[in-house]
Amino acid sequence: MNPRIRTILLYVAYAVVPLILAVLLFTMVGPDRLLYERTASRGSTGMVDDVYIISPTKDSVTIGTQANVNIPQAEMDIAIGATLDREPRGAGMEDTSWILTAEETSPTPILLNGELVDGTPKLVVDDVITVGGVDVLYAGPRTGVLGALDWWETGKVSHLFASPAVIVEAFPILLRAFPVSILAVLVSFALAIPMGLALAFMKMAKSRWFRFPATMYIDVIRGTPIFLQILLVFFGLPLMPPWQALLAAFPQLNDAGPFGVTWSLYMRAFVVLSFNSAAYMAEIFRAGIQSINKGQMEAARSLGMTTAQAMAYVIIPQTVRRILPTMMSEFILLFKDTSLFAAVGMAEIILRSREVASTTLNVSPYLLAAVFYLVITIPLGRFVQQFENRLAASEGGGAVQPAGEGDSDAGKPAEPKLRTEAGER
Amino acid sequence: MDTTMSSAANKPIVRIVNLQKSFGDLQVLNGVDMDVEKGEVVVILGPSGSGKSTLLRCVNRLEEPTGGEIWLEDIQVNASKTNINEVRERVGMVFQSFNLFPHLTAKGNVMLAQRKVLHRPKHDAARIAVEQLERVGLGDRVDYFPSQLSGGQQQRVAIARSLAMDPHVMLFDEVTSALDPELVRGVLDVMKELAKAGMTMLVVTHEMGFARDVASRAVFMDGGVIVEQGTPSEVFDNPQHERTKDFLGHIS
Repeated sequence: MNPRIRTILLYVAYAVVPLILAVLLFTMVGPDRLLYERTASRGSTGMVDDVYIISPTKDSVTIGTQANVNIPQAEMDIAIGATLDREPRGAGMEDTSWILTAEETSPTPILLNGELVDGTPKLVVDDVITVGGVDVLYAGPRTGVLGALDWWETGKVSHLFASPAVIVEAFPILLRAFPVSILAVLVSFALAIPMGLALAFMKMAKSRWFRFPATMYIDVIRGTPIFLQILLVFFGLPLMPPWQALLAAFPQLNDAGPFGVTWSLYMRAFVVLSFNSAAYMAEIFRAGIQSINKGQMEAARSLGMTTAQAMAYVIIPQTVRRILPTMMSEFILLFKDTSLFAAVGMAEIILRSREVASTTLNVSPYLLAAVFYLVITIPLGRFVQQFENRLAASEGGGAVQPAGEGDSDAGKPAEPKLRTEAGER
Repeated sequence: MDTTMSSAANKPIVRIVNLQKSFGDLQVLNGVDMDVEKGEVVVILGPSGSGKSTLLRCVNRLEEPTGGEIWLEDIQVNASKTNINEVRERVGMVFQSFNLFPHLTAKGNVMLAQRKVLHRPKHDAARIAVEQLERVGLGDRVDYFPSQLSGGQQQRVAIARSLAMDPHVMLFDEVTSALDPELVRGVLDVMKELAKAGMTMLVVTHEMGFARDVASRAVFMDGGVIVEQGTPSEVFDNPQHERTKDFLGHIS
């Protein structure tokens, strides 16, 4: 095919296909809906608006305390108060109508628009069915994008894993909990850097009195799961007298701190994360320092610098550039490890997700939590990657070399001024 | 070259007495005695493993001597109470592998020790750095990073870095061995000019032409001892020892 025609067709396809999809999307009629209020999940308070979207494959919908439309706060003793039946059965969306049947066993009266149900009336949009004191509105279908979202909810898998309604409910709860992890990891990481550096120097020391404890510490921390360390610290620290004395002296540590988590929990999180990360960081620092050519230290020392000066001005600056990517990877790992705090009652994002998931019987909050993590880890990971590439390029020498610079002195303007007649050798 | 007129009146600037150095069981220096007068250029020759680099590295105690004494002017270098950093301020050293600080520019390399060791004000350190870089012919490369310089240029920066500390003695440890042949001359020219200016230098090298032209004394080492020493013409043209003859026969 003529490449130009192909290009034009391609652009038409790019323009037309989304247009058709957009028209379909905006003219879409969603499934029928029932609106009601129910008790909110833990983490948010009061009542929330909920919606029951009637799948087109369903011919009968029950309303009650253990029914399709689940209203646990209803004042009634039995499970089902009212039933909606599709008329005609199996009609799907087309020409569907719903017949209301009040269950005779219901101890409280079933009302339609505030009046006792008389016979088996056909519902019209905006009818209100009252079951056990709770109003359920027959809202009919929505159209357009919202209708499409309602269709999404009627799919079993799509509803279970990515329910827009549950995500909307979970979002503010998770948003409030998310900074807990960030605060925990930022403070711990900042603490772990000097601790790791100290451990690294101890491990490189000549004296075994420094080397042995550092090696032991690093081996034990890196050789045990962080979850074990979390359990030890979270349940062990509160049993220690100094900790109890501290809390007795500052009782406000048990009050809610930033983002609704107590300082007592934060402090234990800082302890376990920084002590854990310091061991890994020590190995990163040590490898970095030892990767610097021995000649650098000799050159610095031969200029009269002390070992400390040589470390501070020559070795460490070169080390930092080299280990920054590895350090950022360690940061990402540590950040993900904060999820384990859910198991010890620290209300970070995973714990909150679990709460919403258990009240909505839906795992979408976990999916939302994943997005929260990815918002941090993907850009950071990309940054690490770019940094590594830049580093590789600059250490290869090619990339930073200005144009026209080669490896030879020949023909360069920079000739030594100290040239003498006795230059032959 | 004759050194008697400059050396007669003065105490030696470097005095090495019965120097011993061993690495474990390996005896590298086996009783070396050497006096270096002010302004002398001593070229140390010898086969690899003869201990010449180790001798140089003992002078500023990059290697710890296992016996004997080293004196720099009135300081005993290898005494335990000596502050070694004071010694190193007075002894410049240039290495085979340049050892420039890759995270600093040429100027930054020359400035760092001036600032941190001599505590020169930033302004002075920068001025001296540029002066020294100009002296080694790199006045137009002050803001280049080592990775942007050729090996010869890097080695000249390293020389400028040592010179900026106003050393009394300079140690050169095979400074041209890692360079491509066409880059060697620029470095040797700088060293010649230094010698002319009266710098006291201990030079380990395989550059025989340089040794002949510049050295006031040639020292031949083998097996951790000084086998033979004298003026370059004595040692090169009329070697007395079999080992010296053998060595010179191999390299020329």
